[in-house]
Amino acid sequence: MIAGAGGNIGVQIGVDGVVLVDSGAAAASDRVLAAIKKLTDLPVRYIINTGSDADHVAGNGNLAKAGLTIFTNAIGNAGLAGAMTNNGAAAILAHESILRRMSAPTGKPALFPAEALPTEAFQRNRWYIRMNDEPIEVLVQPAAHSDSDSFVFFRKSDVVAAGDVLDTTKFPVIDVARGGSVQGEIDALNKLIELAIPPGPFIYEGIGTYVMPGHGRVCEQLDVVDYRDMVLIVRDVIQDMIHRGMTLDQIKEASPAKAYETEYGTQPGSTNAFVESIYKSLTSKK
Amino acid sequence: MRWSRIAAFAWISLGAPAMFAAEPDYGGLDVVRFVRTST
Repeated sequence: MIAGAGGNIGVQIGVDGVVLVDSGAAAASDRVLAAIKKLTDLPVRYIINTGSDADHVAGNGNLAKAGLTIFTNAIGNAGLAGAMTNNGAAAILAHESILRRMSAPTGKPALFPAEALPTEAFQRNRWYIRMNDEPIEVLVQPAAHSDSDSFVFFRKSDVVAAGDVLDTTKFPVIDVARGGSVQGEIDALNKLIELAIPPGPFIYEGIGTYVMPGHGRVCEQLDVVDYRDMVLIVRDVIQDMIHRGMTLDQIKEASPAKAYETEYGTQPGSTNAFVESIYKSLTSKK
Repeated sequence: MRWSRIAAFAWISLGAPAMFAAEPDYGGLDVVRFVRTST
């Protein structure tokens, strides 16, 4: 895992080359490539995106261009091969919802240049590839942090990249305006808990499944349970306040997330945004 | 003392120093490596 280039970047290395989970910020691409170069001389073959936020996908184009397609140009037709293979660059794999969010097909200018857009978009809720003798599953989580979240599960390495569904540096960002919801966030965290297996009965043999958050430190299953419980408890407190007829301002004033602020509310605005997103999420449904 | 605590303590004693071993400079980025050994 590479941290410090925007969102966390997952790096799988093997005989087929490098598979990345997310690409970080565009401005950090040179440093990311230099860090990968220190780990291996093999080229980047795939970038798999967990979401559509700039700190996770803006480096897509730079890192893909520095990589190499898995397809060879045996027929010698550069134009055709280029069209089929992202011009010889690494492939960018993501759920269609990520492509939709990045490309803004509603007529507005796209948020990202064409070279950063996914070259392989899928529609099903589960996709998979096999690279470096390892099955890699992409599991779509509808309506969590936003409407375009995926987990990337490396089944042999026993590592799952959670994207921004899990962020150990702050309260989860639930972007209601872009299709996120508190129930979807809880469902996604439950799925993450289900995927991760703790060590046992020999607890000294590693930490079990590694869970890579979108930001922050590497976690294990129990960390995700704690995080899920935090979201559940704050959600229930706010739900109760809504039932008692409190307004959003009154709820914010009552600090329903107070118990967790020292751990997750240190970034300016994080607590307010979290409380507000839960309120909106709970009051907009039905 | 419960056996689980003894095991956890042993893990920290044996495993922790290796976690702080010197790493190459990755240009200001943090690199965490998960090494899985196959049997």
